[in-house]
Amino acid sequence: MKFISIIFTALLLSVKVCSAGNEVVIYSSEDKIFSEPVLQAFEKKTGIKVRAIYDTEETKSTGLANRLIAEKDNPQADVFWSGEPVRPVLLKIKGLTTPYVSSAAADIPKIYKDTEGHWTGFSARARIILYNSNLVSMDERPLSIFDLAKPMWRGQVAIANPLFGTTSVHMAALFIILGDEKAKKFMNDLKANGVKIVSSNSEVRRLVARGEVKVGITDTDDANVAVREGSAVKIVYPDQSGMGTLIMPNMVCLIKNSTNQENGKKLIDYLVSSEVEKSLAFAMCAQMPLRYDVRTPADVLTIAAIKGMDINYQDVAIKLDKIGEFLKQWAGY
Amino acid sequence: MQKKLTLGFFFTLFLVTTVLPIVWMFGNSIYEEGRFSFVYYKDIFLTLKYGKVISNSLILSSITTILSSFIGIPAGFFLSKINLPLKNFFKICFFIPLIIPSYIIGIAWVNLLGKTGFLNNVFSQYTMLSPESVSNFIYSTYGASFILSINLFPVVMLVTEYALKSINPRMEESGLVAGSVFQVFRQITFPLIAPAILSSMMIVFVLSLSEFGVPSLLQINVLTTQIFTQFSAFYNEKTATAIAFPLIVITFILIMLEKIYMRGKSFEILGRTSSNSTTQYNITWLNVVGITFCTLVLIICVIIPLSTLIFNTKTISVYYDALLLARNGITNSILFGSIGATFLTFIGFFLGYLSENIRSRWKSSAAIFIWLFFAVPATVIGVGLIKLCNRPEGIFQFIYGSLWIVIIGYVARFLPLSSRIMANYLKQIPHSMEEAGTVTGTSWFRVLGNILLPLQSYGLIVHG
Repeated sequence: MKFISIIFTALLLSVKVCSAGNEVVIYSSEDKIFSEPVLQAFEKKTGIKVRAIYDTEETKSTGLANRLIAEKDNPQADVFWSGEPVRPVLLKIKGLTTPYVSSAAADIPKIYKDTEGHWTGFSARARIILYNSNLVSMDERPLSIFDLAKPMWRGQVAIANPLFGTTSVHMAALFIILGDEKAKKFMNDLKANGVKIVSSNSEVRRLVARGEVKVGITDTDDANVAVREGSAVKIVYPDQSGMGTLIMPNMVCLIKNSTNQENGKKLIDYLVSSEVEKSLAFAMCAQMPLRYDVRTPADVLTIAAIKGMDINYQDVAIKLDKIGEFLKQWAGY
Repeated sequence: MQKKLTLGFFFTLFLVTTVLPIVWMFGNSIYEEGRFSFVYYKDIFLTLKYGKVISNSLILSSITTILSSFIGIPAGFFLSKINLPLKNFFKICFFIPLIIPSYIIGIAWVNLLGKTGFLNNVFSQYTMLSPESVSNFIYSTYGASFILSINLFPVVMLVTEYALKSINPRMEESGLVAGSVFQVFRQITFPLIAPAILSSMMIVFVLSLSEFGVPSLLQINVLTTQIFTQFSAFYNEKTATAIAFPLIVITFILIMLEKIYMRGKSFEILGRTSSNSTTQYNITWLNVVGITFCTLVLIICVIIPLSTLIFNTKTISVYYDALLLARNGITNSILFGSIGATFLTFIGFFLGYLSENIRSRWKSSAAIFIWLFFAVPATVIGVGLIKLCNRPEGIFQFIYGSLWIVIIGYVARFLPLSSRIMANYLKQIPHSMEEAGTVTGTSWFRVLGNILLPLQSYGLIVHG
C-alpha cells in the first residue's frame, strides 16, 4: 500500500496544473516545424507564455478542428491557426469563433478576410503541379490541371485523398469555378486515366521526386521542400491563361468564450503582421505574403506574379460540405 | 475484505477510464434529436454498404496474425531453446520493429517496393515480376498485412519465449528420455504453450484490427480508415462511433471462439525448479536452422527497413534538426510513457487477477468484459474522454489541463491489453500457492507481495 501512496503523491506533486496567468493557448494545424519558431518569437517579444498544440501529418491536419468541435462547450484554445482556408470558415459556421478585426491586418487584401471578422488570412500557399524534370521535358510539362486527364499522363499522376486537407479545398474550388457537372466529369476522367490517390501531399511529393509518377498535384510548401533538397522536380503554377491557380492563405481565428481573449487578440495581431509574412517567406515552406510590399527570397513568387483563382473561401467551405459524398465515392471509400 | 475492496477499486478505475468514454460515445450515437434511434447502425448491419470494408478489415487482421505467428513462434522458440550465439543482440534487435511506429516501417517498405524502389528493381530484374505488380502488392491489403506483421511479430515472439521458459523442465526432460525432439515438441511442449500462443495471436489480431497508420498510408479501405474519414472529413462522430461497433462484435466472436477452444484445457505449468533452468536442445542441425532463421528475420524485419530509412535521409544534419525539433516531444514521450506504463502494469495486474484468480461465477464474464473494449480505436476513446473530462468544474479542469489526461488516455487505451497479458501469466500460477499463503493467516497484500508478485515477475517484465 505504501508503494501506491508514494506513486500518487509523487505524481500529484509533479503534475503541472494549468494556471490562468499571462498566457495564450493556440491550436495550430500549420506544420510545427514552421509555426513553432513564429510562436517562440511572439513569446520573446511580448512575454506572454504561448501554450501550443500542433497537428500531425498522420491525422492529416484535421485532428485539431475535431478537437475544437468536441471542446465546444468548454473551449480550451484561444486561437486557432489553420494552415488552410476552409476549417476556420467551418468553425465559424458551427458557431465556434468570435469576430475580431485586427488593425494589423488592415493592409491585407479584402478577399482574404471575413467580412464579419471571424477569420483573417495571411501568408499563402498555392496548389501547383509538380513534375519530375528527369522524366518530363520543359515542352511536355502540363500547364493546366485539365491536361492531367489526357492520355499522355495515363497512370502517371498522383493526388492526395480529396477528402482531406488542401486537396479537399482544391476540389471544392473546382466545383465552384466549373459547376458541378463539369467538375465531376473532370474528376471521373482523371480517375479513368489511372490517377494514383495517395495519403498526403508530402506522399505526392515523394512519389514525383522518386520518379514513381511523372507529375502530381500538391502544395507549394511540399514542392519547395523537394526543390531545396535537390530533387529533380520543377513547379508549374497551373492554368495561368485560364481559371488561375488556387491560392490558399493560412487563417487565424479567435475562439468564442475562451479564457484569454485579450492575449488571443495580441497573438492574432502578431500572426497577421508583415513580420510573420516575411519570416514564413524565408522559411523552408516558402509561403507567399498576401501583402504586396513584403520582401521575399528570389525563388518565392509574390502573390502579384500569379493569376489566382477567383473564389470566396466561405463558398468553398459550404461547397465542400455538399460534395463530400461524391468525393468519398470517387476516392473509393 | 481487503481483497474485495482493492479489486473493487481497480475495477471501478477501469470502468471510469476505459468503459465510460466508450459507452458515452455509443450512447450518444443512438440518441438523435431527443429520442433513441438506430439510424447510424442501419447502414452497417442492414445493408451491404460496409460489407467490403468489414471483409477488408478481417483479411488484413487474419493475414497479419498468421504471418506474425510464422515469424514470432519460431523466433521465440529459437531464442529460448537453442544455443543461439549473440542471443541478447537478436533479442534487442527483434524489439526494434515493435518500438518504431508502424507508419514509419510502412514508409520504408513503400520506398523499397515502390515502382522505383531498390528491391522492386531487384525483383523485376531477376524474377518474372513486373515493377507494376510489385508496387501494386505493397499498396494492397496484403502489403499492409506484410508491414504490420513485421511490426507485430515481436508480440508473439515474446509470449512464446516466456511461455517456453515457464515450462517445468522435468516434463520435457522425461519426454526426451523416451522420444525424439520432434515428438517432445509436438506432444509435450507445444500443447503446453498453445494457449499462451493463441492468446498472443488474439492480441495481434485485435491490434491489427484497430490499426490506422499503415492502412491510411497505403489507402486501404478498412473500418479504422472509415472511422477516421467520418470524424475528420465529415465531422460526424455518431457515424464514426457506429462504425466502431463491428470491431467490438468481431472481438466478441473471437473471445467466444477462444473460450470454446480453451474449455477444459489446463494452464498450470509454472512449477519452476530452483535452478530456474530451461531445457535446451543442443542439436547441430537445429542450431543451424535457428541461426539461419533468426538472421533472415533480422535482415528482413530490422536491417532492411532501418537502412532504407537511414539511406533516404540525405544528410546527417537532418537528424540533428529532427532532434532539436523533437526535444520536447522526446522528453514528454519518455515521461508520459513511463508514468503511463507504471500505472498500466499496476492496474493491469489487479484486473488480470480479477479476471483470472478469483473463484466466482463472475470470473469469465469479467475477463470478456475487460477485453471487449480493446478493439475500439483510440480516436473514439479520445473524443469520449474530451466530452467527459472537458468541463468547467474544478476537478475536471484540473485533470484536463494537466498531464493526467494523457495518462488517463494511455490507461484507457491499453488497460484491456495489460490486464490480458497479466491474466495469462497469472493463469500459470496454481491457486494452491496463494491459498497456502492465505491459510497461514497473513493479509492478502502480504500474500500478493511475497508469493504472487515474485512468481509473476516474468509477466511483469514482458509487460513492461
